Amino acid sequence: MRQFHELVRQLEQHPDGDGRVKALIRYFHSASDQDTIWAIALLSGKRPKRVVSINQLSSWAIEITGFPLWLFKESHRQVGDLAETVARLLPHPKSREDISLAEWLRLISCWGAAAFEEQQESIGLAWDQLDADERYLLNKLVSGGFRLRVKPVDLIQALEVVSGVPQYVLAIRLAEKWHPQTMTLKWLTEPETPEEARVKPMPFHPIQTLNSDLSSLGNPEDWWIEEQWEGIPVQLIRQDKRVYLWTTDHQLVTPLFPETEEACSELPKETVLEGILVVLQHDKPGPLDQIQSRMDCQHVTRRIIHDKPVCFIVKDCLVWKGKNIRNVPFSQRIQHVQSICSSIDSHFIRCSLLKEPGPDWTSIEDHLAAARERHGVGLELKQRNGNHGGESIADVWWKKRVDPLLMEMVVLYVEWGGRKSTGPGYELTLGLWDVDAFVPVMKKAIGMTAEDMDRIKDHVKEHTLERFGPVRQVVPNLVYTIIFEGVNVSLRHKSGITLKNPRIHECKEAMDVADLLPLSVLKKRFTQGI
Amino acid sequence: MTSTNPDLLVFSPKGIYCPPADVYIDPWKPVSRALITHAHSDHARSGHGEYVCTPLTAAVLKHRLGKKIRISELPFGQKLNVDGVQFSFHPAGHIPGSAQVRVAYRGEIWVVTGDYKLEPDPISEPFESVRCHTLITESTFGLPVYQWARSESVIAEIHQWWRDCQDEGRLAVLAAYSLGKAQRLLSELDPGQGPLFTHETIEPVNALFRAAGLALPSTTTVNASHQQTDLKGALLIAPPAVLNSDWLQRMGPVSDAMASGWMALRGTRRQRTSERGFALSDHADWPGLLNAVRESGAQRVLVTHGFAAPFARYLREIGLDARDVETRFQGEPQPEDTTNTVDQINPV
Ligand SMILES: [Zn+2]
Ligand SMILES: [Zn+2]
Repeated sequence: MRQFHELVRQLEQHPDGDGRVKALIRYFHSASDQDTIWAIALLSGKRPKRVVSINQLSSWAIEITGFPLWLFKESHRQVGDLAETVARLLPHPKSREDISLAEWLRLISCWGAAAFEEQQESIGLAWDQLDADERYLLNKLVSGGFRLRVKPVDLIQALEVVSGVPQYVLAIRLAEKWHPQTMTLKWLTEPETPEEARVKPMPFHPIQTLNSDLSSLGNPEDWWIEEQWEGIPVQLIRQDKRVYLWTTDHQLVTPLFPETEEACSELPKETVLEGILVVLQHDKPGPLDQIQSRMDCQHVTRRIIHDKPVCFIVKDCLVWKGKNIRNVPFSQRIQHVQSICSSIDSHFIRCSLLKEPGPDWTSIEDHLAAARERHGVGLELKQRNGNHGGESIADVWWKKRVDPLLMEMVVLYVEWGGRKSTGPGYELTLGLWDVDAFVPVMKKAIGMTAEDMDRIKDHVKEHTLERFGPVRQVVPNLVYTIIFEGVNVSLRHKSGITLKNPRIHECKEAMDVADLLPLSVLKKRFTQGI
Repeated sequence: MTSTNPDLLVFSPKGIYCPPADVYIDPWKPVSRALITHAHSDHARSGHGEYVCTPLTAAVLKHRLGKKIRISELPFGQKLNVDGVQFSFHPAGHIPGSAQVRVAYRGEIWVVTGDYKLEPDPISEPFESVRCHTLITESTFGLPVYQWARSESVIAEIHQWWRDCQDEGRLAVLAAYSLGKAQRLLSELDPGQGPLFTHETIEPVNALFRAAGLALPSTTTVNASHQQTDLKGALLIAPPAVLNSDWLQRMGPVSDAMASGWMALRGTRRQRTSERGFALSDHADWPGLLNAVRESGAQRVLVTHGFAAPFARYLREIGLDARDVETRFQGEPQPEDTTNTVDQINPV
């Protein structure tokens, strides 16, 4: 348990991928096989069944310590978590024994079947062998409150490093139904089988951002032009009787998207498609955060599918009925895509919207400029005769985003904050007129040029109205231009909207706040059709 | 022991007052004569006519408040008689030189603990239990969830963290208050593991302690001319306020940690911006407070700063005459109040 506690501590210290992967690698290197399996299980959400409630644990702790209830409550108020309060109230262990994680979990499952008095006695004995940090974990495990999760991609990356087994193979095996008591590390890390090799994702076709004008691409007739949506790129492999849905980082996400799996179950065998997953809103692709939130849903219910239906927008066909067609020109591959999509009667799979190229780049430019009205974020351009995954310049896919939007906003609050990710700096809350008062619209850290730092420092010094902890409310007279890519409706925010990918661009020192456009204009102008 | 005189010490607006001797203990307003338990700024304020304290506390006070203050040194165990009231200092184990004050008058004995800690450390005079009728105790960590692990195991954790920092090529920055905690850490850390650096606010206290014969490893004061490479593999001890300064940014990749009793709770650790928290305190934990009360034999206990109300209530429930008294002592400052800590410092 000591090792596992150290792992938990390190995972809590690193909320981001890299530090987490390192912590996992360290743990996997030192832990026994069974502990490794249990750690994988716990961290991917396979929790042991609850043995007793946390309130039951609390009353046992009160009984053992003899503390009055009010003192327990007072302590809980200070600690904020019952499992930790119990762990810290109990006296130091008489003899600390380092029992392995797997053994603890074996014991916990035995306790589940035991009589009440036996549970109390066993848990009391367990408490007396663990220090407060370990007890905290035990309390969480027996009361079903262990919630720490690690992204599958981090787990798999760490396992690949310690076992040498490719990530996709690990992903396939971990996606099976398994139980930590029957799963072995030996099985999990066996060399890949031929069956697995057949469902290995292929390299995704790279797509590059076009910074120059569209006309730099030469003859418009050489290009397929598609809408660009924001979504999660995936490869779908239909093999034997099953469907495998891979992300670019080799996560096997099929169980997260049952509607896609079902829609694709009628595809011809041995077919590989590439495309993106989006959430449909009013039958149109919704914003990126929608599909990301679907990715975070571990247990997909019918309600979730109803509220956030996911659509697989197919963009390319790599293998058709067992035949690798990646070297066939795109214009032929896309015909397979079209015939597949028209043959499947489902909302959950559709063909990428194709736009026949206009007579000239000017009309395509117009089409690009109107992307937002179609809920797109730009256009994608693909050589008609390019290969998939090829490396010659003729195979390149380009994406061109629609120009960002600009709007002036006024600084309402300034917060000096040290964020682990961005380092210390100012965070500004900016807002717009809503009838006759300002309403906050966005909050964002400002880039740390010396000039900006000084300007804000002076502004805070001269114009602070009120302090709320680290936050200063300032006189609304400092205006910045904001760049953003769109507006989402959000009922959770006072302004009723959120901005897509907003950045603080430049200070408009000369601008009078009376000239700022009101919130209503922002809403009207940019949220059309949503 | 049973108390007969309920008013040998009273809580006045200026602080703890002894009427028959006209002397204050750790007063927070200027008075003519003050007994000072230790040199932390919530206990030793400026502006008193005369300071009475242990020799080591006197040395630190001269550094903190200026050479001009009037100080009478009273070594541990020696008696000072003021109008028939006998005062003496006894080790509190909180920081080097820190004292409890014993006050005896007509057979009546009171003890003011000041800040104290029962577990010994390499440099503080170990806590000495003093029998009394009435005990005035602190209660900074007066809840049963505060039970310290043995300091060796916390120090071992710090060493492990330092080793990890060395492996990752990051500078280990350990935040600790410049008087007491910083020196205790220095005395317990292994200088064989790498160079020990200190922030400039810490070195003057080191010098005073070394002059008093306390064993501290050799340290280097970090200054503006030091480059990132000079601090390779080092551990830097700095006051908490330095953690969020631009100055640290120049030192390349760092890992910052905080050593404080408050770090015992996960919630407190998470609120902090520092990466690591080590629960190492210079105050008594819950069992320590109970022990101190028990060992003193006091029938009456007055509880000051910290969790005074719950601790006093608990003492009443186990049969003592106890109540909580409001004071202006802070105990171990919560790491988040950087505005009013014992260290008023400017980052280099
Ligand atoms: Zn103190
Ligand atoms: Zn204090």
